[in-house]
Amino acid sequence: MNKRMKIAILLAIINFLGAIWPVTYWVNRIQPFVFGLPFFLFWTTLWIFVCFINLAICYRLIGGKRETRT
Amino acid sequence: MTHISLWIIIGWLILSTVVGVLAGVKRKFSMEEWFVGQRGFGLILFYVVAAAEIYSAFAFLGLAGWAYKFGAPIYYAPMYNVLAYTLFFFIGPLIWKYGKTHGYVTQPDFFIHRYQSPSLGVAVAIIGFLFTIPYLQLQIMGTGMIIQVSSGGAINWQAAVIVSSLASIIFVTVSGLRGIAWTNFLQAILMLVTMFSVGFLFPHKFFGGVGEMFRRLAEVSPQHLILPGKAGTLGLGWYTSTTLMSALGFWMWPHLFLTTYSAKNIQIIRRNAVILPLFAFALIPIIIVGYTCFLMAPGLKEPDHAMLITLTRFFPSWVAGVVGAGGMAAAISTSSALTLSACTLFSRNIYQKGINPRASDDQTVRLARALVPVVTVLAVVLTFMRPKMLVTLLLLGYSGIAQFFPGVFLGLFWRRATKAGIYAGMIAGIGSLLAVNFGLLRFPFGLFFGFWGLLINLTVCLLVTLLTSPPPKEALDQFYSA
Repeated sequence: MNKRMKIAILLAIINFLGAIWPVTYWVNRIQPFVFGLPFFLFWTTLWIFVCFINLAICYRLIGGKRETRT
Repeated sequence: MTHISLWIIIGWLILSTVVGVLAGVKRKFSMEEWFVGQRGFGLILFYVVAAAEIYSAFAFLGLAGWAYKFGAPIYYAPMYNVLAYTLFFFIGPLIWKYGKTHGYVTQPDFFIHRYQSPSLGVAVAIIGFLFTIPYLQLQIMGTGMIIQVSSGGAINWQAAVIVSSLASIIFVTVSGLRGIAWTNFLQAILMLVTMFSVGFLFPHKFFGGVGEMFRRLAEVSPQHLILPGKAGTLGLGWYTSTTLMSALGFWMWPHLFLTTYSAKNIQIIRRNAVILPLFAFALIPIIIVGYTCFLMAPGLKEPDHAMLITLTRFFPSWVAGVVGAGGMAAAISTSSALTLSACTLFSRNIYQKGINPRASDDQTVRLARALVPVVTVLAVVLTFMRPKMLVTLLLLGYSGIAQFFPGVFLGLFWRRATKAGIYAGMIAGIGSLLAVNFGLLRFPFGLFFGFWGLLINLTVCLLVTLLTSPPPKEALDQFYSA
C-alpha cells in the first residue's frame, strides 16, 4: 500500500470517528447555537461538509488517472 | 380547493410514466441493457439515478415524522449517508471493476464467482429478495399517504397506491433500468427543489426564521434537540450502532449494486462518491420541517403525516400539490428500482442460476419483465395487510441487507475468506435478527439489534473461515485478475 492510499484511508476513518461515540458524547448539546442551529444539529451539518472535503482530498490523492494503471 | 394539489400530483405521475416509457421504447433488450443500462451511465445520469434511488419516501415523510416524534436521534440519517459514501469511495470501484470484467448483472453473481458457489448465489438472492420487500412496502405506503393527505382525503391511500403502482409497472416493464434512470432525472430535480424550499418556507412562515424556530423549540421541548431524544430511549449507544450498521449495510442493497454496475467507467464511481454527500444536506431542511410541524401542530397521532398535514392546513393548495408531487417522486423513484432489482434477483439468480441453468439470457430478461407486475402486486397486498410506521420498515430492511457486508467486504479484500465462513456468518446473523423479532432474544446495552446481528455475523464468519481450508488458488487468481 502506498503513502497516498494510507492517507486516504486515514481520512475515511476520520469521517467515521466524527459521527460516533465518543465524539457524539461531547457534541450532544443544545448550547451554543451556531448560525441559528442548536449545537448537535450544527455539528451534524458541519460534519457532512467535512466528510465531503475529505472525500474530495481522497479523490485528489488516489482517484486521478494515476491509479487506473494499477 | 384541494383539487389543484391533486391535479398537480396526477399530472406529475403521468409525466414521469411517459418519460420512463419513452426512454426505452426503441431499444432492443439484452440482459445488460434491461438490468444495468448497458453499463453506459455518465457522471450526471449516474448521480441523479443514485440520488433518487437513495432518497426515498423515507427521506421525505419518515424523516420529518421522526424529527417530529423523537427529535435528534434522526440526525443519524444524513450522517450514515455520508459515511456510506465514504465507504463507497473505496469499495464502489472494485464492485464495478469485477462486475464489468466478469460480466455480473446482479449482486449474487458476485457471490457465485468469488466464492465459487452457485448455491450461495441462490441464498443471497432469496435473502435480498425477502428484505427488499419491506423497503418496497415503505415506498408504497409513502406514496399512498402523500396522495391521501394532500388531496385532503378525497382519494384514500389504497386507491392512490393502486394507481401509482400501475404507473411504475408500466415504465419498469418497458424500459428497465434506463426507464428508471430517466424518470429519476425528473424526480431528483423536483425532490431537491422541494426539500430546500420547504426547509426555508416552513420556519420562515411561522417563526420568521430557522434560528427563531429553534430558540422556541429549545424553550418548549429541549429534549428534541439532543440524544436520547423526546422519548428518552434512543441514546448514544443506539445512535452509534445504528449509524454504523446503516453505513456498512448501505451499498449491500441489491438495487444499489445494480446501479453501481451501470456506471460507464471507474472515474464516474469515484466522482459520484465525492459529490453524493452534497445531496445529504437536503435532509437537514426536512428535519427542520419536522421540528416546525411539532411546534405548530403537536400531538398528531401519525407523525409520518406531520409534514403533509401542516402543509394542507397552513399553505395554499398548489404548494401542497408541489410538495406532494416531490414526495411521490421520491417514493416512486426508489420503488421502481427496488422492483427491478427484486425481479432480476429472482429471474437471474433463483431461476436461471438455480432452477433452470439452461435458460437463455433472453428468456431470463423476459421472465424478469413478466415478474414486474407480480412483485409489485405482492408488495401492495402485503402493505394493505400490515401497514407499519415508515422507519420500522426501513430499519427492518437495513438490518437484513447489512448481513451481506462480510461477504462483500471480506470477499473484496481478504483472499482467505471462504464460502463456509460467509454462509455460517449469514445464517447466524439472520437467525439472531429473527430471534429478536419474535421476542426470543434481547440484546443488551441499548444498541440497535441489526448491529448485534452484524457483529454476530462477522464473528462467526471469521471463526468458520479460519477453521476451514483456504479457497483454491486458481479460482481466486482468476477472480482477482480483473
